[in-house]
Amino acid sequence: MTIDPLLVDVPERIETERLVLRPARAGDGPMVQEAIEESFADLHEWVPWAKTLQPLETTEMVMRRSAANFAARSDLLFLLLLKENGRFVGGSGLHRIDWSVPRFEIGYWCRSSLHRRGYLTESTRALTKLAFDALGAKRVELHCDPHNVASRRVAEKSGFVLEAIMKNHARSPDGSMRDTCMYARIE
Amino acid sequence: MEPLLLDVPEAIDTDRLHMRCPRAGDGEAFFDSITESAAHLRAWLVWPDELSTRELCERKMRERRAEWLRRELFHFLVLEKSSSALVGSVVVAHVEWKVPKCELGYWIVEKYGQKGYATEATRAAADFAFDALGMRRVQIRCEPANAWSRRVAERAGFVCEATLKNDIPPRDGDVRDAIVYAMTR
Repeated sequence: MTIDPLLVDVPERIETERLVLRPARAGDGPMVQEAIEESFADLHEWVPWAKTLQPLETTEMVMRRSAANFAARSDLLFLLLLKENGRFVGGSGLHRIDWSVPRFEIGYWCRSSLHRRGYLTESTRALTKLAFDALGAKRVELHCDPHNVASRRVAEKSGFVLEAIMKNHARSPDGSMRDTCMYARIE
Repeated sequence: MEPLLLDVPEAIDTDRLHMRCPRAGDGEAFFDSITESAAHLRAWLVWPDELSTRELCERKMRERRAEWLRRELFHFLVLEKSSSALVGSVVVAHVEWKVPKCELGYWIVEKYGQKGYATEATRAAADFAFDALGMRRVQIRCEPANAWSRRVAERAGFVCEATLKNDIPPRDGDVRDAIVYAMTR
């Protein structure tokens, strides 16, 4: 069975108990930039795209490109917003999509001022459910640095199983070698 | 200027028409309108034959939306304001940001013809190309024998520049000439 990704219906709004998840769109740059600036020290430690702090224009371009990728079903990034007041929480998406399996890799980040509230566990559960129920996933992967305790906790609380720790699998944002925890959930 | 950073309106209104970027779900109406006008469209266009099912049309609409968001091509669905019916499309294609220049294409559902909708939509799309996209040249290419298309170009204010010999791929037979209309700003 081959899936034509363009014909897959992906909801453009998902609600969880405390969050609204929606694709990025033009104009989201300033809101996201503010959160990245606030969180840069944390992001730089773990997140591959946070090598250096990029200007607002770059962030706005990333948002617009992400909207196009979402429309093309080549990468599905969602922004996380608080239901209560619309405050931007962070981002989480289904990336490195292989529709032929189908297989997805879930990634996430949360702004520093809203850590330790379980928002990413809530969004990760919702996006994993989306992958299996709506997108026909057979496998959802979650990669993180073995030293990133907070990220591993999100994975474990969201029902992911540690399959392996892969040696010298990636580089940290600072350029040093690091291992990768390969977590996965299968259907 | 980085095309992605251009703020591009996703809809335009003219006196009688609402023109907008396609979205998921538009395939059905698009299929119905090209099917209804099939004979009329096939006289000059090759793509209606390629969009032979509802699914292929839905796919095309979604692809068009992604292309729009990537600032590669701007496909306007043209709707009649009074009825909300899909009456045709105008497409801003072959966008070359380095010049910057582009080309317009258009078609109208047969039963909505003869009302000047194509001219109205083409004018609006040309303004969009100049004002919203910053184009310096907008061109229209059609076959010399396509009197309808030529009339639309002329009424919309385009100037005939040249006839290019053997410029259009063959459709049942020989290669065709192309007539080029342009507007510059």
